[in-house]
Amino acid sequence: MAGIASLAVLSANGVPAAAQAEPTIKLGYAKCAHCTPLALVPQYAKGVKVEAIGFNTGNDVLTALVSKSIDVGQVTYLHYAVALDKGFDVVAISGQVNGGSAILVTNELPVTPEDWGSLKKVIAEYKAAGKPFRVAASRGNAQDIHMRGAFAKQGIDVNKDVQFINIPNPSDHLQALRRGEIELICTTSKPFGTQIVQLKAASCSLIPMIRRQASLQI
Amino acid sequence: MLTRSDVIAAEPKALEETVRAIVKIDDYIAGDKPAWIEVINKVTGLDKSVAADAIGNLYPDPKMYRVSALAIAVMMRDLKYINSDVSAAVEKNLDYRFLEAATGKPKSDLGY
Repeated sequence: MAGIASLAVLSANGVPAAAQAEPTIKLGYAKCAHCTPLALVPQYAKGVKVEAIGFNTGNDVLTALVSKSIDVGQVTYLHYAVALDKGFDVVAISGQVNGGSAILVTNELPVTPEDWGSLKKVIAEYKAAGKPFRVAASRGNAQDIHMRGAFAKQGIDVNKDVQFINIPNPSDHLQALRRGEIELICTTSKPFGTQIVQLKAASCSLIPMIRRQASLQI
Repeated sequence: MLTRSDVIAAEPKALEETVRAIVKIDDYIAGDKPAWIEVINKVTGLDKSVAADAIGNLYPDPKMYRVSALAIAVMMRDLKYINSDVSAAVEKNLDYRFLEAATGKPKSDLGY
């Protein structure tokens, strides 16, 4: 019986079917606009069977990777740094997409798109008048880090030149702008930044100035 | 894209082919934005008009940016999100060999 059973798994050319099978890679990605192209990997992969698995967030992807539920995961550089800080065994093997952050200024302010000088002038005027220039983001997320990097590059000190306001849930960013609680927001462009612009809650986008200055998706 | 050292040891060729597929997809969506909008709409349910505006600020790019990665790690520590200086590990654990094989380019052209 053992001989018959073994024969049953031989392929036509006599090579065990298991030996011919393609290796399988389980690939995790967050179901956000950035990451959705990874759903196509199984179609494009040759010589490997890729199982693409959608997760709700990048944190979930990282958890699955370090717990060995998946083999490859798409996260941000922030997750990469956190994983290494915690001593996890992670190795970066490719990027995939950049961008996705939107820096938006309220409609009333005389800030010109793609002109950091006009923003710095307004911030200086607020400072001279003793008024706080309120900058909001969800503290610690990719857009917050992106904004801090872009501001630092422009010589704007987030701790001294502006007042940082933490709005943890990005879905609250639109209403904060509408209520006049902030002058500038750095949020994810999809969907929140795009919706803010489409609903005309902010009109001046600094997006072109920060694109490609930092690559956040790894 | 992250993996683990045990996966690299066990399936290096499979990882190379996975990265090759990602590079192909990046080329595809960079040249066919309507196809990307369709994928976003299908996977996330996001309205197509929002997806169309959003991808104006997204850039398919398989490179790994070493300098940006290091800067982000420093900033993460400054903000007290991490406790230790992970700069050396950030650099050491950027493994360009799969991307080099998939693109035929040296790491100096891939963000190193």
